[in-house]
Amino acid sequence: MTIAEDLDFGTPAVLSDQHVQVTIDGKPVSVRSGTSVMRAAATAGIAIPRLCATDRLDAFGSCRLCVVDIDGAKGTPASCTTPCTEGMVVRTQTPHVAKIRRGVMELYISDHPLDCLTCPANGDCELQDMAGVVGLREVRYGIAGQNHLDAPTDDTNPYFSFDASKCIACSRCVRACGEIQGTFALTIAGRGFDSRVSAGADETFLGSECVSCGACVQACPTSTLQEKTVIELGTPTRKVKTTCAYCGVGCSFTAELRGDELVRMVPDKNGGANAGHSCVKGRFAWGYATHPDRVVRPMIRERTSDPWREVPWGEAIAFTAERFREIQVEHGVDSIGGITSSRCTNEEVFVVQKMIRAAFGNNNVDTCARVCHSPTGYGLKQTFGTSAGTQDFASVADSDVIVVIGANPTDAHPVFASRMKRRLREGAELIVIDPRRIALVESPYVRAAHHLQLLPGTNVAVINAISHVVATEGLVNRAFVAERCDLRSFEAWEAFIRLPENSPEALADATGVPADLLRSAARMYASARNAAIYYGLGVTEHSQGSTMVMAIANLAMATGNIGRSGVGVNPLRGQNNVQGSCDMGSFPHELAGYRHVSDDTVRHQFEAVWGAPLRPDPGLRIPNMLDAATVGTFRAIFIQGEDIAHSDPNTQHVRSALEAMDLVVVQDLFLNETAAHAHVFLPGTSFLEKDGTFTNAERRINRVRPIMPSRTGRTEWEVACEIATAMGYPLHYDNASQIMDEIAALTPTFAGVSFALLDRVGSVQWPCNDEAPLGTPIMHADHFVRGLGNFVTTPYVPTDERTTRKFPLLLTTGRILSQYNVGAQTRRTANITWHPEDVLDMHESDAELRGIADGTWVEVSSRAGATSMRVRISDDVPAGVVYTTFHHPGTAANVVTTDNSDWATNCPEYKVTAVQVRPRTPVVATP
Amino acid sequence: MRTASLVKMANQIAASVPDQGAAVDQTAAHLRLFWTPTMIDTLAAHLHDHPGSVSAPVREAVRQLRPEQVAP
Repeated sequence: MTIAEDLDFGTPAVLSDQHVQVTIDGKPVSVRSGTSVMRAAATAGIAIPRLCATDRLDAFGSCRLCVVDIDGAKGTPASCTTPCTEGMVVRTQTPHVAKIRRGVMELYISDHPLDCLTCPANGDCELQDMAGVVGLREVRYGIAGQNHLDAPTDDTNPYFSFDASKCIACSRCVRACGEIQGTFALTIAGRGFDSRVSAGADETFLGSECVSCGACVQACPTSTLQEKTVIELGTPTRKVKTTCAYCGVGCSFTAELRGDELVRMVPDKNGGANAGHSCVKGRFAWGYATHPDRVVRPMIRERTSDPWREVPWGEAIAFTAERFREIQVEHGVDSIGGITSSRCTNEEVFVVQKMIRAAFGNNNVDTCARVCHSPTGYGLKQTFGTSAGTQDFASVADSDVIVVIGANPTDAHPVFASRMKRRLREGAELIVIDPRRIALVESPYVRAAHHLQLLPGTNVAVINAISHVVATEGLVNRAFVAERCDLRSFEAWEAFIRLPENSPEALADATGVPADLLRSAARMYASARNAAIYYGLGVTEHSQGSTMVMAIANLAMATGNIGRSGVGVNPLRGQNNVQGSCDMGSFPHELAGYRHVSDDTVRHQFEAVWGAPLRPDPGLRIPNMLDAATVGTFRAIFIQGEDIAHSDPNTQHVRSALEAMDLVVVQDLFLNETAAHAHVFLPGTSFLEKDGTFTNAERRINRVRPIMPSRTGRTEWEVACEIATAMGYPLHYDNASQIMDEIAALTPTFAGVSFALLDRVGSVQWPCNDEAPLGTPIMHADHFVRGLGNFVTTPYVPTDERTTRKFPLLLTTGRILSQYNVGAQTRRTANITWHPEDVLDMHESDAELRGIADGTWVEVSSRAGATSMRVRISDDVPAGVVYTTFHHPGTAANVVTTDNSDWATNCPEYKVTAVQVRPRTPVVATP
Repeated sequence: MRTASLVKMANQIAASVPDQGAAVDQTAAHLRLFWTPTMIDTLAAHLHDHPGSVSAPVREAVRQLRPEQVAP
């Protein structure tokens, strides 16, 4: 492994085609025009002392420690704020500048606690380092005068401490909060000697708008802002590079440990997805891995009413394999199946789907992408030819217009949201299409040019209306269409989309979006130099989810917004490896690399390598499995890392189906809601124990490296191998790297991928093969994967889920920043501080009509079931729409969601449920 | 499989395939690509006894796939 240690160049890199020549301490240096003297010196291996400067932040020039001597320049300019000019001659070490630096340091240290030996940052403190670098040997001023040594410590944040007595007012935390995170929760209050860092308007960190991303902690050059784990456990002694296991951004981290004990997770500056940034989940919420609730030994039971019995691995494997085979003998080969997990590595997922196809002998394998982005896979394959987003995250920096549809990036993909907000602050325009007023609509220095606040369920009508404007107002990029797209399909689409029934005026009543507003947004998107669309589950989780994805692709192609940086169609994938789990052949109709099981050539390749016959017909999807279970034709299931009794819609139906099965095998970290219906519990491994790869939303394949030994004594792929072997299909690998080698051999888009490559270059984005040995950041640059882009007509078909007098409100669901999906992990961390319960957001007019006040317990009932929760009066939702999260099993929001689903993929329609809301006393969910 | 689910899904597919002019062929293709043979068989058997339970394009699509089970 040859991962370089981070080198801080002091100021950010400059994008310029021009170069200038300078001489620094006698060394000739060539740098891009606009580069600071500090960065130029660092490039030449010359470290200039500094405190307020870091290459993660714009130069600030406040500490005066980086002064240098420049021929012809007056005084001693700060090297961080002085750009190099042609022929400049710089001296970084002269008696004069050395004296100035010592004087500056002397002032800093005269107002700083002299407790280095007991300070948590001892040995990891830039102030301490700089005192040594400048040769500070005495402090003449003493501490008898006015100082900040008694300044209070703010310990309100559960993850980090703010010790004001150690603050040097360098503003790095304040700038990190603004420039990197984009929240602007911190400021410098007071002036001169009274200057101090303040969270909000003299609030506590916990009480302020701070989102606990950790950027300020990472930026702090002292121990002022310090992780509490470092205070408690001590300074880390070793590092391992790995990948976060929360959302689809897939941030790279350096896990810092003492022995096998994880001390902190620090975002990796070289991480392709996150470039050194993080969110509260990845940075801090990893304690669930060692939570007492973890189950680390296998357990079995005959009936779900029996108590669990801990057994050795061998007995659990034998029990599982024997039962699966018995059930197949009695009820047929197709009576069993399994679900792979988007939380697990590519290697783990690949082996489970292989176990199902080769050892179970059927294609009854599905994955949790079924309930989130399966329409993305379907829609983008139909139009572009492959089932993935088109861009890398960095692409957003070149966007002039950004359209966010049915996504809430600041909560669900916060690290990417920070990139997006940076571009918006630079002047890009924003269009939000969402029933809710998400944070991006208006936040510090960000305001959407247009917010199309559509009614839930009318996505396709809105996107068709936008395309109608494009097609009828001469905004089609005909050159792009002629060169890159299938003209017959375009002509059919153009004829369809120009129909008067697709006009904004005709659809305004259905969508709730004023026609003139929609026309303005359409013109803005279509007229931009570079316009990009980012979307989330608010697009896919509808009865027309697949239609909407294709409609988005149509719009991007019609306007030529495909194939270069700054444009594209970008699904914001929900889970860490949802892209990868789909890539690995988890769908019942596709083998790895999205090849249909009926393709004889592809299937024979797999059969040759796997040594087993494979079925040519599609298997059951998750909803099909559950349906079949209720009529007795599907009898047993293997569930890898998914809590379908909590996450899937219509909980009553899911639980009934599980109860009807003869064998339910759950592989997970915790005894989740699904495990209540299980006969076998196989303990899983957390990401800190895994060895493998995750693939993020930008198709980036990142290494996941084990930080600590498996607490269960097994890797998850070993367990699947052992079950397959016990069922009569010998399956064995020596290590995870061998699994990736097999994936590469069988999957053209992964052909060039290996652990050795990833360890050498960090990460690659598929396709990675002979044509693109280092991967493909932006797809469809010269031609679409399918050749010519395919337009698809997308008629709007209203959902069957309608409001009535009995159910007059529309419920939509989503995530919150501090929690993650069913909350199995985040509820077992201090993140619970920010979200102790799910609440129902309701517009004040709907609340007033029902006599509901803020905090009132209400019953939320639908055609599927009822639950109860508290109401939060909010104008983030319009009248007629209510919203909740689904992180807590107590409220069980999916008790009320229905089994309506996307026509093409059966992705559930989570985003549209007709409900009634009434005041009541608290009760548990009653499916 | 619950026939009610199959009927609902099939009707939804036929109503949603992009080219409504070719709804029969597109529905048949969709069922062939994404449904298990057993699901198609079950729906075909159901249509034998309840031909009016699905839309006309669904009936024709299933007949295309299982001509021996679904009467014209």
